[in-house]
This record gives sequence, C-alpha cells and structure tokens, in this order.
Amino acid sequence: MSERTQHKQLKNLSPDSIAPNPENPRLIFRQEEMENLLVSIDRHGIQVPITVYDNGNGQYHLIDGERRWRCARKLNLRTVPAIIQDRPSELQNLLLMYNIHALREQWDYYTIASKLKRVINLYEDEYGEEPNEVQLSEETGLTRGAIRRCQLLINLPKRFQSMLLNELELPKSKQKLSEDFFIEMEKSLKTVTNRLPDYTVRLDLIRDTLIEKYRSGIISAVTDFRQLSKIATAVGKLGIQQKVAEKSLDKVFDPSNSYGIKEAYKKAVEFEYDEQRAAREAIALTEFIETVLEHGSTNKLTDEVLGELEILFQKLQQLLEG
Amino acid sequence: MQSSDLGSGVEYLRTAMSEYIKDIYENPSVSHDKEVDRTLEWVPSIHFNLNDHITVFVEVSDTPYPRIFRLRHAEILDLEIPVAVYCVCPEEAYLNDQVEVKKLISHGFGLFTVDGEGAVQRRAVCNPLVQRISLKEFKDEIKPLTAKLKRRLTEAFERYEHNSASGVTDLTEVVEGMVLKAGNEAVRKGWLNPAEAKPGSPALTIDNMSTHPQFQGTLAALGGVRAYINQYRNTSHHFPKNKKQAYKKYRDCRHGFRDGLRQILAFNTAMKVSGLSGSI
Repeated sequence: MSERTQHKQLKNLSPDSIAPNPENPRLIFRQEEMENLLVSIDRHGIQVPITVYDNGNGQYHLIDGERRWRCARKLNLRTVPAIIQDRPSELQNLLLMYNIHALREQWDYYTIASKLKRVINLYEDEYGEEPNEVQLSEETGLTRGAIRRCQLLINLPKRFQSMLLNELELPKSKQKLSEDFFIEMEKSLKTVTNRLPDYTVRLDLIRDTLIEKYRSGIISAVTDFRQLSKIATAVGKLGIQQKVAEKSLDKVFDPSNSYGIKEAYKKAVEFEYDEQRAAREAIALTEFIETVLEHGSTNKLTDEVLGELEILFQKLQQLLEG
Repeated sequence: MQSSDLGSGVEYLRTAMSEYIKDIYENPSVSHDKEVDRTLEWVPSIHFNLNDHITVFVEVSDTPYPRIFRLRHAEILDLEIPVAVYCVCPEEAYLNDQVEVKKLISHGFGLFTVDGEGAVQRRAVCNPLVQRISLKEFKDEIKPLTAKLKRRLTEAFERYEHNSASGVTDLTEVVEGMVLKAGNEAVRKGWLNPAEAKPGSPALTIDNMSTHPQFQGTLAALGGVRAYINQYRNTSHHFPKNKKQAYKKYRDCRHGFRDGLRQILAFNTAMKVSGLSGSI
C-alpha cells in the first residue's frame, strides 16, 4: 500500500473532545489491567501521546490510545497529549490499528478477528480482489498462523462468538473457555467434517456437547482435540473403517455420557497410530543398517547400540515366529 | 457522551443500578460520567443527591473494591460536601472475593451487587466518609471502660452510624448520666448536699463538685465534660441549610463523638481516683 504524506501536530486536547474509534478491533478492556494503567497515569501522567484524527467539527477520533483515554476520563484529567494526524480512509484506519497494536502487545485473537473480515472486504473494494493470506499478513503485520486462527473464530456461529466474548471479559485467570479452546475445537471439527461430512448437519449440537464436556472436565485439555482430528483422519490414512471411527466419534458427541476424547482415541485408533510410527522407525532403522553394511562400518557401532540391536533381534524372532 | 467505565462489559451493572436508584430513591436526577468537582481527580460512573445534604457516588466495577477508591479517599474528604461512596459489582465477584469485600466495608465504602437476572441488592450501607469512625477506632477508644459503659456506648455508636448528629446527642446523654451518677454518689458520701446535685442540671452539679475538696484533683476532667455537654447536647437540633453546612456538621459530629469518648474515659478515671464509681 502506498505511503501517505502525513501532517502531524502535537497538542494537548480535552478528553471530552475525543471519541473512541468505531473501528477499533479491541473490544476487551480488562479492569485489572486498566487499573494498573490508571495507577501509573495517576502517578506519572500520560508519557506517550495518544494518536487522533480531526473529524472536522472540533471533535477528534482515536487512532491509538483508547486505554489511556479511558483512564484520563476516569481521572478527570483536563488535557491529554495527542498527536493529530490526517483523517485516514476506513481501510487505512483499520490497518493502522493492526500495525500499531498487534505488533506491540498480545491481543486476543477474537479482537483481531472481529475486524479482519472488514479489512478483507475493504481491501477487495479498493484492489478489486480478495487478499490472499500473504497479502493480508503483509498489510496487517499479523503472522499467517495468526490469520488462520482468526479465521476459525470469524467463522464461528454468532452464539458461540458471544459465548467467547463473555468469557474474554473475565480476567485471564478465570477464563475457562479460552480462545485456544475454540481454535483447537474448530480445527478438529473442520477435519472431522471434511472426512466425515455427515456430521456437518449437527455441528452446533456437537459444539455444545464438547463445550459441556470440557467445562465438566470430561475433556481435560484443549490439546485433546488434536486426537479428535486423528480419529477422523485415520479413516483414509490408516485404513480404519469409517463405521469404527464414527462409532467412537458418536460416543464423544453424545451429551448423555461421560465419554471423553482420550478414551475414544485409545479405543479406536491409538494402536494403528503406534503401528504407523513403529513402521516408520523400522524403515529408518533398516536403512541405517543397510548403510552400515554397505560401508563396512560395523566396527564403528558402539557396544550399547549392538546390545540394543541384539535385544531387538530376539524380540523380532519372538514376534515373527508367532 | 461515551461511558467512562474502565473495563468493558459492565454496562449491564450501570443499567441495573440506574433502575434501582430510580425505584428506591424516588427518581432523583442522576448524572452519568459527569465531573463532580473540578478539584476531584475522579469521575464516578454515577452520582446523585440522596437529599439536600448527602451526595452518593457509585462506581461501576468488575471487582468489589475498585482501586480508584483507595487513590481518591483523601480527596473525597476534602470535597466539603458529605459523600457516600458505593461500588456496584457483579454478584459473582462479591461471592468470590470476600477478602476485598471486607476491606471495602471496613474502609467505609458501601456495596451493591447485581445478579444474573439484573436484580440489585445492597450488601453494605455507606455513610458519608467525612463522618466515618471505624469500628476498630471506636473499640480502641472504649477498651479501658467497664462492660456496662461499653454496652451503652455501643448503642450510641450504632445510632451514630445511622445518624451522626443523633449519635452525638446520645453520647452527650451518657456523659450527663455519668455526671448525675457521680453527683448522687457524692451526696450519699456526704460530700455534696442534695440541692447541689439536682437531676437535669449537670452543669450546676459539676460547678458544685468543683468547689469541694474531694474533687480538687479532678478539675480538668470536670471542666472537660462541662464544656462537652455545653457544646454538643443540642447537636441534633441544628439542621444544616446547605451541603457545605452539612459537610461541616458531619465533620464536627465525628470530632464530637470521638471527643465524647475521650471525655468519658477521662471522667471515668477521675471519678475513680476520687473514690466514686465513674459509671452510669
């Protein structure tokens, strides 16, 4: 995007003459964090000016510094130092905020996601094509991984977005349903419905069940969802019969039982995954032995390795002789 | 005007509290996020006049004890208007953080909570901070006294907490009761004649006591209670005309109540030294 020539001015403005930026993707202001800033401003004042643009009728809109501005109002400060910039276009405004904030501190993904869709639409209007992941990453300063995670949250049904937003209002220590929970759940459900499309029709009920099971501890960690994906991918990848995978998933998706993902994984596909891993390791070991034999470097092997190979040989004999 | 709440997601507390104020306090004029005084470096979420004297500040907060209360406690006392300060927080925060709730109340602030249905409940009443005497302060003052006196003074303190002027008047009555009892005991001992210790004339009784040799070592205590009765016996009769007078009155009540407790202790000790009970 082309650089604009900026006319900047530093002024002391009354907090009452400033309005928050309607495009600010930041939705969550946690009181605990805000109070820390409030105390700091009370003691030391506002050390870094906020950034605003003049909307033309004596009022200013914030570009950067909503937390400082909120504290200034609470502390009844007469003025706040502000850098006044030219009025940006809507897209420039949004991109400015991503670049100012997202690179400076860890934002909640939901915060970023809430406006990302708008950025995509505006970009499309301006450039005539939807930005790809790389372009979006360059324009917003977000990593591609972050963009992918945001998109999972954008695509959540409204009801679950509200659930997440309510959770994010809580102090971090009290959040049970984190963004990570929703991101991991959505990633796994995407895999499940790609492989087994029959589940698509009752996806919201499945989400409700998984949330409930997570709240009650039946699903103990957000990383369990990775095993859910593995149950679904085992159908094509490991030759697991579709009905075997579905039977396990049905039990996980059934709200009336206390069947968790770990149990389902163990029962349905754990052995097959272990077998697959063992096969990979056996191939690697065979290749290594062939190389040793080819180069005649058997004498380079340590006693420890030879001892382990001896044990392996005996176990293989046992196994192959049945 | 934008809300000046620090945290996000607390708008429902403000809405519920506004309805409650409208309902309970007969629809007073309520200000949201408006400066109260140029000198006060705090804009409370809500403020309104409870009556001609008392202003109520309500801070909308996610937690039971907002930090702004600690930061601005001294400034509120300097405002020269009697201010009762409340926090309104979610019921869940109240239930989960009893340590902070206790601190809030012990520091003289009040508390409202809002439950999931939006119902408001007052958890702790708040009196104007300028009149506040903490329970700890009160207990420290009465520690050396007898159980009988302590019970009576606790009654006066409870009255003080609901109505400071009435509490001070009540305390003055305790002082008068002690003078009456000392006079009666002195009559029984033959130090005074009955005409010198008539009920209903504490000043006269004190004046008469001070002329007798048995009380020569207690003149300071006698002078102290005489001046105290004179100054505070009609405290509740003088109604302040405006907020500034009310502020002065509540502040004087605080001084009066604490001074009364000290006079009682001094009188009690002095009468014991003279050989009387020093009780009521």
